[in-house]
Amino acid sequence: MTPERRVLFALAAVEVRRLLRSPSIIAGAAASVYLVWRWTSRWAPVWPETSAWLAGALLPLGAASWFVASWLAARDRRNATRDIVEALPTSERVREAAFLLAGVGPFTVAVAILLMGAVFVAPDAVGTPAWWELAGGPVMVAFAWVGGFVLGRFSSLLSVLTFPVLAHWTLVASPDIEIGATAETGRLGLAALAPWIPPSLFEPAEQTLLRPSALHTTFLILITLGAAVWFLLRHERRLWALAAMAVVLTLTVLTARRLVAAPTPLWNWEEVTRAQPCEEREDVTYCFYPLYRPWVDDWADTVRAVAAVAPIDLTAVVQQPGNEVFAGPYAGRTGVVAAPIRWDRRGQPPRHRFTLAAAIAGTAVGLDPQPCSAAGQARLVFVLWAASVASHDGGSVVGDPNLVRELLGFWRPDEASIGLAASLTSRDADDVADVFRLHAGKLRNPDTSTGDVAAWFDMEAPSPSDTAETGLSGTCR
Amino acid sequence: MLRVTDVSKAYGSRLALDRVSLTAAPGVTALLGPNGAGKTTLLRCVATVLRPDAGRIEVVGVAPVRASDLRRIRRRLGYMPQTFGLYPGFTVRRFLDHIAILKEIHDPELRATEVTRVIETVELGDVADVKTRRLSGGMRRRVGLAQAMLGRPDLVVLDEPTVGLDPEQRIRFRHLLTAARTPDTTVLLSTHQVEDVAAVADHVVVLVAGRVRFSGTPESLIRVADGKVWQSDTPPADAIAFWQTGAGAFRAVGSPPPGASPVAPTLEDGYLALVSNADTNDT
Repeated sequence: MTPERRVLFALAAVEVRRLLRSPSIIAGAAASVYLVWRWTSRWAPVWPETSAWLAGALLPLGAASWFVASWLAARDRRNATRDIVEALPTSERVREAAFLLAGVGPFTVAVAILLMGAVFVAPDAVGTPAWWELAGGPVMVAFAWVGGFVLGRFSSLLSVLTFPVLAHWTLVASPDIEIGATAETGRLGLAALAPWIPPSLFEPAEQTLLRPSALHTTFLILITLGAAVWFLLRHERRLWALAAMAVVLTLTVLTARRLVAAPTPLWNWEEVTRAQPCEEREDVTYCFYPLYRPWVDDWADTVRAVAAVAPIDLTAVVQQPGNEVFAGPYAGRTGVVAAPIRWDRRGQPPRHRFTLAAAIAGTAVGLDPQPCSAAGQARLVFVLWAASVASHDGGSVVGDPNLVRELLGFWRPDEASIGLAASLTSRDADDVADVFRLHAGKLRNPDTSTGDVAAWFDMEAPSPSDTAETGLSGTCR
Repeated sequence: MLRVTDVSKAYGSRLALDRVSLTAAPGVTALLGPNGAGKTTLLRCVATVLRPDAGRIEVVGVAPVRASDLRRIRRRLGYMPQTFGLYPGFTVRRFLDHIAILKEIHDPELRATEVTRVIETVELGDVADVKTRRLSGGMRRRVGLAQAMLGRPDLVVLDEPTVGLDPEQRIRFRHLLTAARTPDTTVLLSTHQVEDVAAVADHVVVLVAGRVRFSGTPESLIRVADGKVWQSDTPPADAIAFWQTGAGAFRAVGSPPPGASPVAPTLEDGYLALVSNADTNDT
């Protein structure tokens, strides 16, 4: 090995060790690990989607890499050590190559976080990983390293501090090109103007998530090339600058064409919903998007659990639980339950199971999952109680009024009904179910109140003011 | 060891070096001159940081014609610039380790030994693991000397190594410099502190306005002022330079008036006589 190469590897190794101890890289990696956990622990992962989330979770590490690279690339200029290093036998070319090679450090950390995330989600995940999306994360980190280096090496200190931050902020804010497509228009909405749209500060992080797709990779390349053109022009290397500008122009045109062309949506929801395969279990037909077949057992289990406490034969009303989003073919059809397109992660509160159970229990008492206020109605108490007993640890959901309102907000659940249902969960489920069966006829009547339910169980009637909430959509009939 | 032949360097229309020639053999060669004389420019050229406009610089028998020549020279060169920074987040040891890698000391064990050696040479053992941002000015200059000494270079170029140091630190620095040199090492240092030259230099080169005005031993520089230094009770009228001593007498350099009491010249007198003559000649 030549002395130059030995210096190259020795220097890169030392830089990598320093990088791995760098507070910025450690903070970026910690934030990425947190995002992996945050974005994959709340519901059961679906690989094609989770792949993008996992890659996107590496953004903090990418931002840290960008910042550290631009900061370190300007190290000799900033600290006035250029005269010292320029009198050393190792050329600037080798020093810079070693620096770029040190990007292996953040890249390896990115791969490790990605693998860790994959191992974390794999046991509960359905479908197969989207390898291209997964690879986008570490590739983005590598690009951030190179981009940060180019900026730090060639631009002024002010730019080093501000430009990467701004660039990354817009990058983080960029929605994915395919997420911007809607089934209605088949074309990109405003979101397609990414990556130049700033995010709304009031949006949760998930809503402004960037997916490191080809568009964003192109964006990074354009930034890097733009900096190169600026540098080359400044150093009067016009021919090279022209060549770089030609590449910039070509990439810009290609990107623009990609932006203005009608995209192929990730899903044609309507078509896919109609084409759902179905399976029959215990006289109930379950239809599902192909990815979600593993969840049919959970749905059937939920239906079975609700049926066990329902006051009527559930198969008479629950015809076809199935996946549905937007204005699908199930809309407006009585007795059809739309299963959620997400499911609960093991060890998490059973949000989706509770919601599905509540929807099924609602069909048993004539309460359709449509926006209307069921506040103060006896059947809402039944629905909440039934959903609770049909879900493992459902008591934790019904014991949290805010969570109930979040999950079943379309029925405007009131404090009194939630409280009554929660207190019923402490009683024997069979005994409670028997009482509800005894009053099955009255239970379906919207005029039967929460106070009546309290009387059936010899409990104190809740305060009328607690049951007075009504929704803007009117009372459920 | 070092041969500079007819080297010129201009910054725009200002000529910083005008056909400078000098040689330096093992030992300490001091480059003396007023501010703006071209000392730093010459040392940067010798250290291969700056390319001269004309002339030839040979270090250890190699002239930097090709990139490979530059590398060969730099492998045998240690350079401490006049003003330099250190990486503030690095400890002294880490900084020197970094420089040692760039000096092509690949083997980690060898590197660690060499770094420890130079740290001990410049007496920074107590702060070896302290971040450089916490060092005093004197310590920072010692780190600068340490990095120049890494790899036992044949030629050590030190640009104003004692500038900004208090008298105690300057004496300490001279001591370190003497301790660090070997019989085969050529040290070229620039300074405008004549005491430094008297203390450590074997050879002196005086540079004025980009030209070499003197090259010889410190003793021969002293002899330049032979018969040109005197004392009087009143301020001398025709002296090149004079100042009042603590005892109240006036010590003057120049052409002594009749009846003046001559005194033995010092190195500073020789330097003043030379520089003042040069100024007179230039004008």
